[in-house]
Amino acid sequence: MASQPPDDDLTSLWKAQTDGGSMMLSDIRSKATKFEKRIRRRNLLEYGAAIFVIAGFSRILWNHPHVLARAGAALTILATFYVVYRIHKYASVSAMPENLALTTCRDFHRSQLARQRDLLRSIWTWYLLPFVPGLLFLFIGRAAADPGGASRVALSAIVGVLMFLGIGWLNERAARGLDREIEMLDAAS
Amino acid sequence: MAEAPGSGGLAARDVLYEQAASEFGGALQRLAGAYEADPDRRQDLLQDIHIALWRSFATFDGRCSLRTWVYRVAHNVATSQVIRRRAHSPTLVSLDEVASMPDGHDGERLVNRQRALERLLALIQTLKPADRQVILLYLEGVDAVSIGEITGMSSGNVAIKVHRIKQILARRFHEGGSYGQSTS
Repeated sequence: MASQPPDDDLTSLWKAQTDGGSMMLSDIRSKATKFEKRIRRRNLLEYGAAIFVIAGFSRILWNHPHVLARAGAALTILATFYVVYRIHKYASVSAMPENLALTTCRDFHRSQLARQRDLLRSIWTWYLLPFVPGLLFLFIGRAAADPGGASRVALSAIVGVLMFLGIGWLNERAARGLDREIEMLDAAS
Repeated sequence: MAEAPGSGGLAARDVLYEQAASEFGGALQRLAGAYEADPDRRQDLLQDIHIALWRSFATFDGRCSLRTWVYRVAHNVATSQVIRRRAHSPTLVSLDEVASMPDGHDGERLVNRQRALERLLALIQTLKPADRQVILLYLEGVDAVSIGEITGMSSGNVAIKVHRIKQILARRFHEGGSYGQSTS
């Protein structure tokens, strides 16, 4: 049994940790601007990666001898545009919303978990499947252009399929974990 | 409670921020320390909280107290960090799980305030966000009704959690004596 209630001792110990801790208003303004710039830079990085992918497939689009491979490259470029659009609209790193105080901690926590879960769960429809037609055409086109290397192309295709399945499985597993967290949060509220 | 002095313009935002920072600056610093053990990340989190707070006052309309506003912003920013970094963090536990865990220090006479504080912080940092919010608000002296308003938990659940917190703290920090007192 406790010999005494913990309230007074522990709260005074807790509060004795620091004194003040405020920041200068001018600092906040300048850091807020830097913060927004940092967010913009991070978003630009995402677009930069997409441009890199598009440039790579553009070379195939213009140079590959087989029409199916060129069609595959074109479809992959379209898929990249679609994924970038989805990331920009639903998943981009954004600055903190201004209405943080209007949401209780429980609702905010739940909405963040649900948002992440939905993104993970829908990864097939917005991230993986859009690339499938393009890559399929690309593999067929490469095999048709060089029948001697068909087995190598088939091996690449198998590795690609396994990679997609692995990414999908990992995301589904993470989504199930978030489901459990949401259930526990609901039960405890 | 602070009334919004304007329609959310820059001057009103600045006034509210300065008032909040002066009243709750210490609490925000403690909160950041309870969410983040690493000093650099703690400083980043504290900075993010202050920025979010300043930005949030653009929409302050007095519908809740300044205290509720500040704690909601701070905990929501900190919780989003916990969620972002969950893949790189150890598994977090609930108060119930903590209560059933053995503590190597149970019954030990704690005389060192710094050590007691380190253990308290370590305990808080293992908690899931919802439980962490309650224990931090409890330690800041926020009453149960306000904890419910800030966190969105029912008053019954807040009461249960506060009761459990008191049990855990009593067992881990008070059994056998109080810290801050000389042993000899």
